[in-house]
Amino acid sequence: MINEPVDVLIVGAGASGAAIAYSLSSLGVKILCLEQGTWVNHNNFPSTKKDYEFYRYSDFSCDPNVRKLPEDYPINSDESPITPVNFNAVGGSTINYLAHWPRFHPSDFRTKSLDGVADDWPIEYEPLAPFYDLNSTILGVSGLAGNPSYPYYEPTFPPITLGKLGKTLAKGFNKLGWHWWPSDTTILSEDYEGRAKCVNAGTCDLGCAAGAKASVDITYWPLNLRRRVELKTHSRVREITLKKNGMADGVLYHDKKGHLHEQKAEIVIMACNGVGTPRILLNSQSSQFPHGIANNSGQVGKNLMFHPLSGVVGLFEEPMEGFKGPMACSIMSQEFYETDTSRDFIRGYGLHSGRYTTPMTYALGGYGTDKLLPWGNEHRKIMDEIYPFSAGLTIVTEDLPSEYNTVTLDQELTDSDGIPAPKITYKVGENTKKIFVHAEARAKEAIIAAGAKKIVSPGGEVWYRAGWHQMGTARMGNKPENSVVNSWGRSHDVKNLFIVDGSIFVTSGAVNPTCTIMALALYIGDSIKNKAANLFD
Amino acid sequence: MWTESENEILHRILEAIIPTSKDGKIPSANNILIIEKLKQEAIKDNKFKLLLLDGLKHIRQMLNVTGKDLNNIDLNKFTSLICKLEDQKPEFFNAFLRQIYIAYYNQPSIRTHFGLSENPPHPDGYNVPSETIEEISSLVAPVIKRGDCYRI
Repeated sequence: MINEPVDVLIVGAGASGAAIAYSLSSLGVKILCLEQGTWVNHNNFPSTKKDYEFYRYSDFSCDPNVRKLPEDYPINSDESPITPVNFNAVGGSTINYLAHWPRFHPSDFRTKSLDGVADDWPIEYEPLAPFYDLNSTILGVSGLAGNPSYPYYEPTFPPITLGKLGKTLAKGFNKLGWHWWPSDTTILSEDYEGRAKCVNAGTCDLGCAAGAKASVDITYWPLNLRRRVELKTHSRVREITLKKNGMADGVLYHDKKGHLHEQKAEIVIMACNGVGTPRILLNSQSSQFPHGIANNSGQVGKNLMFHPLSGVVGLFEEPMEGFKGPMACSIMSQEFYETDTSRDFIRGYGLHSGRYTTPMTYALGGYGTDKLLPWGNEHRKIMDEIYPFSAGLTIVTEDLPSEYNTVTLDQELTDSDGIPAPKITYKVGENTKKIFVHAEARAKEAIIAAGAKKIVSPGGEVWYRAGWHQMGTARMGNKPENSVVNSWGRSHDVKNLFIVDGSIFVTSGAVNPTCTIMALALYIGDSIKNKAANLFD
Repeated sequence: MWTESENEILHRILEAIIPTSKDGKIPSANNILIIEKLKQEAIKDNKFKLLLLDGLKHIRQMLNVTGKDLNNIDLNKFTSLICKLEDQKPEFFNAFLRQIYIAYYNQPSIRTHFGLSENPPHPDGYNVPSETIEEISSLVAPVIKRGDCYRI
């Protein structure tokens, strides 16, 4: 089936696809976005149901291998201690993300120059700053201005409630003289644009029926549709097609019934995250690109970065009410974020006070792990005497790029349309292991300083179901021989093909990346508009 | 799906897996709703069904070896039988335990014992007083005093 050609074709309606659609919509050209999932009904989110916790282990799991919905594709993670998690729908993973919104540090863009590791990005913090701000205005970011670990900026709204847990841990950091700050988050502390402020439900991963959490289906997409961007759901892209002159011709995609469509476009923009994008690029093979489109450098699918996560938990005298309030956001410390040459590792990490979780998830081992609590009297003791009194810190480590860590095409596993599934090959790096040793010791100090009686969970285990942040698999760079796209997201090899998701990250930082992914998408959109006259030169 | 004697065994196992709290306020997992949930899961998932039936058969055989029936085996002895079951049938036991935890904590009434609401999180959520700007300012004052801590 051949469809009417469009000017701009965006693949993926998640965070980055929504942002670039918004940016380019001011051009007044014909823009089409293809999304393999569909709209989700916020009134029907699990968080509105009495058995809400159960959905975390079924239809609303963050793991597509558990969810197995028709719009999901399987992921082979047999050779990785971390499995990618996501959500396939209009809004992408902003539907079930935890909305933590820290920016990258200026140093994150210059790790080679500053620390001699990885590579510098071809852009820096400063040109991105206006796009961080624009994105904040559209989404509504709650936080506190004046964080000394960043150049000055102002969040849109006051911080969300720190709660008993956040304040307790903050006092611990103060006692040690360490940095901490209220978390920036795209969860509203005040009503905004028809969205209600946070009601402290504590189940951000199960959908926010109040609309307090800024998923892009309720923020960017209504704006985009009003600006006449067309969005087709249940449209799963199989491959990018190529013209004889080496330019992208469009894509082939499957509709809900599996029928194959051809969609031509002047510009193709990939926005499918750090796993989905390399998967499609690698599956787009031709005589000109036998190893996948835009892959003359051989870098497509390489340098996969997650943020390996671990946690340390302490036992306090009083109930910490960790189930009240946004799940992952309260306060964070960046005391150990930057490189310190006196340590035995490079770069650093953040300590995030997630709140806590609900009883079922705690009994099943916590969010992101599958280690069941013991049964019998020990179970009763843990649930009654430890769970309510617990507070912890999540360790978010910088993950340095390594060519060993890859997304490739699985030789056997496919999705329901027969498209090869991504295969993840990943190991936790030596630098990261050293970071964990340091970070777990510091987290214990902070928790004890905050008044914990003892440490009940010392860390030591990388969480498996925690590959939220998928970066690096089609990285930016000025040199075509070792990067996939240039400083404004255009493929070095195919001049009308752009990539705007986390796959273009050069390094990972040690913070949640969606804030930077969206700022980058807006920046790339702006660059495309500014260079419209000679876009393909 | 299972025999009457296996059903009795199941009740005893559930009592042992999540016992009643010390103060008697939080009930054990020995509850008809949990049994029903396990049945539903077994109907939905044939692999789990086969594991479950095999596990129940195995513990019945273990009971036979002891020469005791359920009515005259004490709790300690029964608990050690479950420990053996866990060692000898780890795949069954892990899947079984997981389903028990899911079924038990899926009951809204259980959540209330841990301070959570019986209701869904939305629309009501929880009442958490916001900090005043003075309170936050006071908390972050020492952090600000230390000055900027980022590199360019």
